[in-house]
Amino acid sequence: MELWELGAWDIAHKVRAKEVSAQEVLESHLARISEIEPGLCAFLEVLEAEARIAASRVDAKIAGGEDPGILAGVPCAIKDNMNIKGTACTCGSKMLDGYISPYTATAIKRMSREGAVVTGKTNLDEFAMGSSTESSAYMVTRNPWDPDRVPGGSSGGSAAAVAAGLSTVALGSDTGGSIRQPASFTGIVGLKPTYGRVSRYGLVAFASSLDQIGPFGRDVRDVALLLEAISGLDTADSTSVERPVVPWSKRLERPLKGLRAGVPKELLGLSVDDGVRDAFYRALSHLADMGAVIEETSLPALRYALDAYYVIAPAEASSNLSRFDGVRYGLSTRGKALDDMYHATRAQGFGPEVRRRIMLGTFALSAGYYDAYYLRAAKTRTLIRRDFDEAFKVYDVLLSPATPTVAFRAGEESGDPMTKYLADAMTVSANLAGIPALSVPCGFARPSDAGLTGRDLPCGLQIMGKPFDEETVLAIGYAVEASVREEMEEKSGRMRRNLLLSKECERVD
Amino acid sequence: MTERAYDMTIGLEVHVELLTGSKMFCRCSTRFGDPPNTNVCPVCTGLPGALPVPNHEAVKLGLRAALGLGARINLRSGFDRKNYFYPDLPKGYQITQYRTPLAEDGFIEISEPPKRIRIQRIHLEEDTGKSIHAGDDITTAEYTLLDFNRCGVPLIEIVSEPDMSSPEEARQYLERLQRVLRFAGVSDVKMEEGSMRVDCNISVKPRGTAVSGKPVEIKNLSSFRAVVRALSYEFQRQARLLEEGKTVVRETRHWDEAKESTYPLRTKGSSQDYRYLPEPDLPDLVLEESFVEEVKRDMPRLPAEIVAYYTEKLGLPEYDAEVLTLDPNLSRFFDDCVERGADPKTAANWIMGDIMGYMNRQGLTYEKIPLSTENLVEMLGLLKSGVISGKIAKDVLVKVIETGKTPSEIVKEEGLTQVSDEGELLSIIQEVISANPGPVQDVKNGKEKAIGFLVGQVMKATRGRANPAKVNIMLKEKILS
Amino acid sequence: MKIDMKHIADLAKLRLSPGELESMERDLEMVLAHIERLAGIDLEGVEPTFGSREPAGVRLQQDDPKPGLSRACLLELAPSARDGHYVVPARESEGGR
Ligand SMILES: [Zn+2]
Repeated sequence: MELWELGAWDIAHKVRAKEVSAQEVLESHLARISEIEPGLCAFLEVLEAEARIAASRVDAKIAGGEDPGILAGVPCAIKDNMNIKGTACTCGSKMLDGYISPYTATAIKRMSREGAVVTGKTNLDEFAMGSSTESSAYMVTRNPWDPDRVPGGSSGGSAAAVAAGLSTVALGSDTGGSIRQPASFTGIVGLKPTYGRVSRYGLVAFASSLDQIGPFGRDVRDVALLLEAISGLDTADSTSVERPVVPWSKRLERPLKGLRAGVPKELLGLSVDDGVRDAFYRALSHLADMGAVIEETSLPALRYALDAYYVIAPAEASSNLSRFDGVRYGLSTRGKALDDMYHATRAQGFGPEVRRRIMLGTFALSAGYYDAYYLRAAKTRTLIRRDFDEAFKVYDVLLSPATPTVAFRAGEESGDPMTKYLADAMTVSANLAGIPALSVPCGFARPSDAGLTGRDLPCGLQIMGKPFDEETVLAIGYAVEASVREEMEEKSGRMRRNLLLSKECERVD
Repeated sequence: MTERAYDMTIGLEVHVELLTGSKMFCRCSTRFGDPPNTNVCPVCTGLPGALPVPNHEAVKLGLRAALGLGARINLRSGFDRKNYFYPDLPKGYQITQYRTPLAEDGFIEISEPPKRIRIQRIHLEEDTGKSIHAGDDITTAEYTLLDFNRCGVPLIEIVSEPDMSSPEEARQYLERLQRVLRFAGVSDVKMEEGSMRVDCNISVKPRGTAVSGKPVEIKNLSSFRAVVRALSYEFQRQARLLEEGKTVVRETRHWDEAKESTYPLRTKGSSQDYRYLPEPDLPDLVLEESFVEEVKRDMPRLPAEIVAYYTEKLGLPEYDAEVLTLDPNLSRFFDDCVERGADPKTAANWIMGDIMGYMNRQGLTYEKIPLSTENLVEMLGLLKSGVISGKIAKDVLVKVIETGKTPSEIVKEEGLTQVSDEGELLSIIQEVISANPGPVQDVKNGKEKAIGFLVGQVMKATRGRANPAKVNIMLKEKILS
Repeated sequence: MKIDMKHIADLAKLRLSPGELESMERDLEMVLAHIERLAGIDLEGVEPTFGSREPAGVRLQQDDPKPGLSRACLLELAPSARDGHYVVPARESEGGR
């Protein structure tokens, strides 16, 4: 077994036990990257030199008898919408061309303090707006399970890197499903923590009241471990919450007997592919076998979640993206007068999807429409939150498929942007309510567009929990994982070992 | 021009920089006058990913202002984004309080005519950076230089109701407001330095009509004088338009100090639409009752309270009390003198007379009163005990100010001690009587006034060091007996 | 629903060509057609939710200045700088004098 095949839990233990060095672990990954990355396009930048310094520091600490941290020597890829001092942060946009961060995001500082080794910055949909990573201004990331398909988005680069074994774990950000959906599409585990659990300081904002940084890993334990490293109060983020950080990675095994899980019929009522539905039900029956009580339930306001989301997120985004004006950093197209500069810079710097959302959000906040759109959406959000409050009086968790389909083909353009937005139907509710939600692989399904010879692709199950109850969410995820472990390990191991991406993908510099 | 037939309605929006050490949402220094772009960080320059955290002291000072203006405090208020593009606004929005301000319903009393000007709201916000237009003026500049040192400095905005009906009332309102904020230690409130900025809304309507005209906003006012002149100008301009049957356009106009006129600031393109948005990066501002109580407890005394104390407890005339509370330093100076045992009325007379006179001549501000209270009180002691005369005291005061020496040192060095020795005085009086037979005869004839001339001659001969009362008695004795 | 696209693009400072405006309008209308469903929800007496419930009140930070970033570091990022300042083109003539 190669070192790049190990999980974070194992690497940290081996490095701490001096069985391997952090540098050896890193070199194995860097070699894997140079072999696979040209055809995968997960990384916008590989931070080789920086990673080597970080790895040697971990080794030096161990040699000096210091505690190297819970992630000692664990390679971690970072979605390129988080600031790391001295490195580029493009957000997948031409707008931030040439910008070098003068500071580091809190989550990354914490992770590094625990011994994680940052290996690079990963591709994403421009400003995290999208569900396929195709709206990146720089390149299209491939799904390692099928290079003709997308890895999901917006944290597609992070998900693909972890799935393909280029990184042990990764950080993503989730505003409406941007961690969970790519986790589902690439057959890995992704968690959107409770809003406020992880500091947003240094994460380039998309929709501030919905954004949350979260971990990707190939198993639930790794995700729990990374969560431990990045969680906790940060006074630099006013929305960060003071709650104890639990050793989640050690509390995964828990009897499911008597545990109550609800399945919101509003989510299953959405057009879910048959294969995905089957995999979901199989997972439910496993949970039931383990003693969980599973019932269908109703959260009526969830029917409007996508609508509320597509008002609130663009509204906040339109304001958050106003700072990209060509004055202080990044792209600046100078014209004769100030207004020419604004218009030219923003029209050139932002791609179509970002422009679309800025326009939508600007409209929803503009005079005469605020009440009808933004305010109504904010009130609908209250109803959604109430429904969750009520449901959690009865159920410990709520379950649904993480995505209505498996990974779709790259380059599929529908005339109606709403078709694309439907990919977020399962996930946006958790962001609107601020609750934790995990996507964990629950099996494989045949894509509806695959034909007879098509390969089966992984799909995820979503577990939504009470605010700050990541413990239960992760424990159930662990149980789901256990039920498909053999199949998952066999298929994904084979996928990784046989991964040969013939075509190099195009990159824009 | 028939301006008498028109009335004006004035409302003022006043921005005041708070006296904090660091900025509203980051820890950069608020120091004024540092080299450009040296007090800046990711937050106040709007770097991607940076987040705001409000300043405790700014909230406290905002509360003090609210309490000083008699406003009702909202224990729960919130922050909002005001979205607009301007190069000195790095985030593309200003964080302000729109839905619920920190406080509402305050007031300022003015005296001529006695009137209560209502304050609608007081809210916290952040200042913008500074634009320096390179070129002759804003209209011919080719490029703009930006300095973000001021960006993010805490402000409060105080919005009055349109309760003023003359430029003079506006001036009084501003003076009173300035005084309250200064005494409350909220701000140094200097229009010249930009720590107090005033925008005026004025609408003019024919007298007796109910419909109020649409307000015109005047900006770029850098002194109280400018406020008064600009309002007077706008009143005339709008009245003339109405007189000619034209309508007054609702717009923002700039005051041109040199030309003494206003001109419209054309906003390009679309009309202003700030698209206010509840600030998602900041939870509500929730104040504990105990915090408000603490601010109340630590509240410095305000002019009204001090005036009452001066008149009722110290027996000063209303006028004196008002003058001494023009400025907190001045009133502290006076208080200190009284505390050191000076007679209140005497101290007030000297402060308001010779000291303020000196300061006016020298163009000094109240920030630095040019002598110590110890020295003033010592001099008043010398005067009271008869060591020096009143006339000498005036000279001594100037010398104390200019040399920094104590009054005793000056009196000693210059031999200014009052001459009370009868033997010494007697010989001088004798000389004066022989040299002035005419006035002496007048005194003998009962012309009391002539005695003053003779006293003056004695004072002259002693270079003011004689005790005039004593001289008076001795002269009369000598001439009439 | 007729959107004043020119006005919205102006507010957002996005100069779009007539063709871009047109396709953008189509896109927005399709999304809005979906979102219109919000108008049908009974929201009588419902308070809006703008953010999370925790923390219930914002934390305040000490009033104590500390050094931020160096000017050199920031101006290095600037598209244009001069004499320690950022530089931008002036506003178009705006005086009506
Ligand atoms: Zn700052």
